[in-house]
Amino acid sequence: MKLAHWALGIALFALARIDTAHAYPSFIGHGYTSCVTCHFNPYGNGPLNDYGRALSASTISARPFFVSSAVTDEKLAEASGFLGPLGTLPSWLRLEGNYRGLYLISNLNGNSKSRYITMQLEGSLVLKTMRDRLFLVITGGYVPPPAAYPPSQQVDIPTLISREHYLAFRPSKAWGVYAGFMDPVFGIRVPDHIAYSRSATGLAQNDQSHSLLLNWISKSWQVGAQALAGNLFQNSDLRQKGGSAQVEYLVGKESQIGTSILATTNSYRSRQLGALFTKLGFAGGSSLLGEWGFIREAPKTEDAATGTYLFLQNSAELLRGLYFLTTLEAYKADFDGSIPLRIRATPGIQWFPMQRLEFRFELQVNRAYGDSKSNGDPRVNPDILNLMSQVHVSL
Amino acid sequence: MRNRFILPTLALTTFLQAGIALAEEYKLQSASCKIYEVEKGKFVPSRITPESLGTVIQGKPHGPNHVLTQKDGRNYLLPNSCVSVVEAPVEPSLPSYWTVAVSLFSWKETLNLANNATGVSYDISANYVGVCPGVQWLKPFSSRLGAGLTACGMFATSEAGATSQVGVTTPDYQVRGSTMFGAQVGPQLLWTPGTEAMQLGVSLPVILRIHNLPAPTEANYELSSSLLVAPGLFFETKLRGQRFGISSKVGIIKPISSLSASYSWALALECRL
Repeated sequence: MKLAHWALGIALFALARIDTAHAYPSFIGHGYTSCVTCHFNPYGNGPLNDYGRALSASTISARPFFVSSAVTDEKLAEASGFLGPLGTLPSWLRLEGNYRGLYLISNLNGNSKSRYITMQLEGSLVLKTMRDRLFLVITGGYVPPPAAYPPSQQVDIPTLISREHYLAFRPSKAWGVYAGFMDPVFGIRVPDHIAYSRSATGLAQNDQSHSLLLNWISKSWQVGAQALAGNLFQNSDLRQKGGSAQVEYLVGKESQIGTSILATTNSYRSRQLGALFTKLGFAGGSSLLGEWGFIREAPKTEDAATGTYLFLQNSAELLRGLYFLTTLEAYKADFDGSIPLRIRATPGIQWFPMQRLEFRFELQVNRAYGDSKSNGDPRVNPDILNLMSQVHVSL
Repeated sequence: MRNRFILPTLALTTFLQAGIALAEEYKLQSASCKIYEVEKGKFVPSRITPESLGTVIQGKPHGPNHVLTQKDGRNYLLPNSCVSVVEAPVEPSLPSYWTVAVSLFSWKETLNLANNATGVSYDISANYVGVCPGVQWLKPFSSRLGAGLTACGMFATSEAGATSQVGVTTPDYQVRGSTMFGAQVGPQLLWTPGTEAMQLGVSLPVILRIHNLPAPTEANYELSSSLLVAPGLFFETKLRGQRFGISSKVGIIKPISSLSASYSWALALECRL
């Protein structure tokens, strides 16, 4: 029964589509082509390693306004650990905390509603040994009960869940084996969980799976293969079992191309995904991310639907720590002509005034093209505008 | 031996002052100065010598040192004693250049459906998705600032229908698969905050649009003019390599005769000629 509660909580929270990831593949613009440089997970997300923290302090984020110019970036990097300038944790232990809140004004041009959402409140524990070759990562977090549920039912929904927990062994820089509960490997793991590339693919912030991941990295290549057992917190008939694979290749100094496939099935449906993607770095910290993919959803009792999506995001560094983002997206759930093409533009600002602090302001314009009424006549509705302000604090 | 290398830079003078572009140059005081390169957030000794440092486009004081950013985006650290900044003459005039571009765009416009008998009018929405091939001409004022003209011809497919209005019974007008064509012409201002690989722009195009939406079938109804001239305001981000680039543009188009502004965005592939 308790497991069922957990599963229900995870599933409902997934429906709320709240962001928790904090991977930034756009930092390829700073010359970092692989997520494993900064994260314990080779595909990003989850806790940062020491190098990632130092990089955040010395390159990604602006210098704090209250710090004297005599304090070098190296000094900032040295104080980037969990305890800050107070000291360092023992080498076998790493801790991290993250809070991310969103103030959302939805339907700005209609009957607008505003609300504040705690998107992420979690802590991570990393235990390392064998010169960091063997490590255990555990991240647990609070999830608010879905706002759509009446308060009487909200109290029954668990609010503490495991985000990820896995054991990793990297006997060499090239090879790594990861076993446990983690995100499926597929496409660019952007933090925008409402991006079609994540929400429509069913790979959003609460879609982790118990799995076994094999990862190989060379100077130019990164290959991953993952066997997915599904989310064992869910009932067995809901678990999405299958596998995924991803190949990335470094073209030039700061550009990467890649492809992913994923296939899963449970008692009610099967899903196949495929994607081509690129991460292009431009001198001076700017970048362009692009992903195009297809989604085939095949319910056991209905006809299969094959759709497609496109994700493009450029990140232009204006000053150190300040980025102008433009995200353009398209999604069509089924090539069938009666399904509308959804297109979306999201310009915004991402600001890291100092390490451990991030602000993000975005205006999202949602549009549907080719929508129809039930009788087949065209339906052209006004755009839906959402204004989103985020704060992210990490320890 | 005292060596003086003048490195043409523009970084700290990105702004126009009274219409005159000021420039600064960095002089390296000694060939024996030790240079550190910023690599993955750390300073590592560099084999580069002052002679081979190349074009520096930005400089920032950094405690007892200076960080100089090279044209390719690399950062180097030198002791302040090795660097001096002098005001230099304005750089020579930079040549103008042409770019060809093809963009995919989306635009939603509010049209008007009027009942000539009752005088009541209704808003309807028109969706356009299409391409806009064109050219851009740009004249750099400095390595940081440039202005030019941009023009493209629009070809789009469109759909239109009455929008939902609470308490209002809208006339039945639903169209899909109609065509739209037109043009966008206007000035553009481009700013290069760091390296040449990234530019931010503002453009103020005038949009000429002719749609081919059919007349309403209901008696007494008339659709607003098929011809529209409207100003727009767009913000643009360009990312580019040596020759090819990609640009994303978001903005609003505001017909003079209407209170409602509409949003438009575009994604363009560009090739510098």
